[in-house]
Amino acid sequence: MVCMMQSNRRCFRNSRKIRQALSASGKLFTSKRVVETRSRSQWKTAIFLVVAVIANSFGNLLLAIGMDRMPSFAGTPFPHYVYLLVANPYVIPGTVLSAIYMLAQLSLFSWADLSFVAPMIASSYVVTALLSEFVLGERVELERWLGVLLICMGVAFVMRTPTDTKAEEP
Amino acid sequence: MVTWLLIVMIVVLGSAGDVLCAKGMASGGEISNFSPSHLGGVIRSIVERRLVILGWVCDALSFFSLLALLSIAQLSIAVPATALSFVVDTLGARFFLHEHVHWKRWLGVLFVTAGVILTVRSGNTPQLTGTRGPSAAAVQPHHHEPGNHK
Repeated sequence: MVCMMQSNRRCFRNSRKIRQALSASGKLFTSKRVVETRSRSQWKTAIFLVVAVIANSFGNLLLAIGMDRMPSFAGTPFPHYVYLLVANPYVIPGTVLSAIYMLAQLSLFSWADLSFVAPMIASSYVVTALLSEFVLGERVELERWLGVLLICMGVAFVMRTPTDTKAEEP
Repeated sequence: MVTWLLIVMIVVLGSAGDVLCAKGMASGGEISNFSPSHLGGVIRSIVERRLVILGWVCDALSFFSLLALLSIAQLSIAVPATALSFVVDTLGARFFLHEHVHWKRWLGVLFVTAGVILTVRSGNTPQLTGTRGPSAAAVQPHHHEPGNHK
C-alpha cells in the first residue's frame, strides 16, 4: 500500500514535470508510460464527470416532473401513495439515474479530490438551465444565463488544477 | 433566527456528508473495474464503508433540514444561501482531507458559488438540481413557491 502510494506520488511528480516540459517547449522527452497512465486517468475522470452530471440533471428533472404529478402526501392514504409512486413512469427512471449519479460521484472520490469533484459537478446547473430553455420551453432569464457563465468560468479554472493532490504530500 | 440555524445545518451537514464520503472512498484505493459482473462487488464494497454510511446519514439530516427550511423561509434568500456549501466543501477538503487547494481551484469555487447563487435565485425550478443528493427534487411539488408553475 505504502509502496503504491509512493509510486503514485512519483507518477504525480513526473506528470507535473511533464506538464512543465510541455508548456515550456511543447515537446515531450519523458517516459511515455507515465504519460499514458495520466492521460488514461484523465479520460476516466472526464467520462465519470460527464456521466455524473448528465445522470444528476436528468434524474432530478425526471423526479421533478414525476413528483409534480403526485397528489399531496398528506391527503393520500400511504399505501396508495406508494402505489402511485411506483406506477409513476418518471419516478423509477429518475431514481435509477440518481443512483447512477451517486455511484459515479463515489467512484470519482476514490481517485480524485473532493475539492475537484464538487465544483466540477456544479456543471449540472448548466445542463439544467439548458434543459429548461430548450426542452421544457421555459424562459431562462438573463440573470440565470449570467450564473451559467460564471459556473462555466469556475469549472474552467478548476479543470486546470491536478485531479488528485493528496498524493503530493510528502 | 431559525432560518439561519437551518441554513447552517444544511450547509455544514451537507459538506460533512461529502467530506465523509470522500474520506471513506479515498481510503480504499482507486475503483477501476466497472464491468457488469464486478458492479455488484463495487457497490457492496462501497456500502460496507462506515464513513460512507455516516456521510449518507449527514446528507439525510441535511436534506431534512432543507425540508424544514422550505416550509418556513423565503426561498429567494434561503436556497441561494445553500450554495455556500461549495465553499464549506472546499474548506473541509483542505483541512480534513489535506488536499492542496491551488488558488486557481479557489477562484473556480468562488465563481461556481456565485454562479449557482445567480442560477438558483432566478431559476423557475430552484430545486431541480442539487449536489445535496438525488431526493432534493422531490421536495419541489409540495412547496408551491411562486414562479414554480409552468
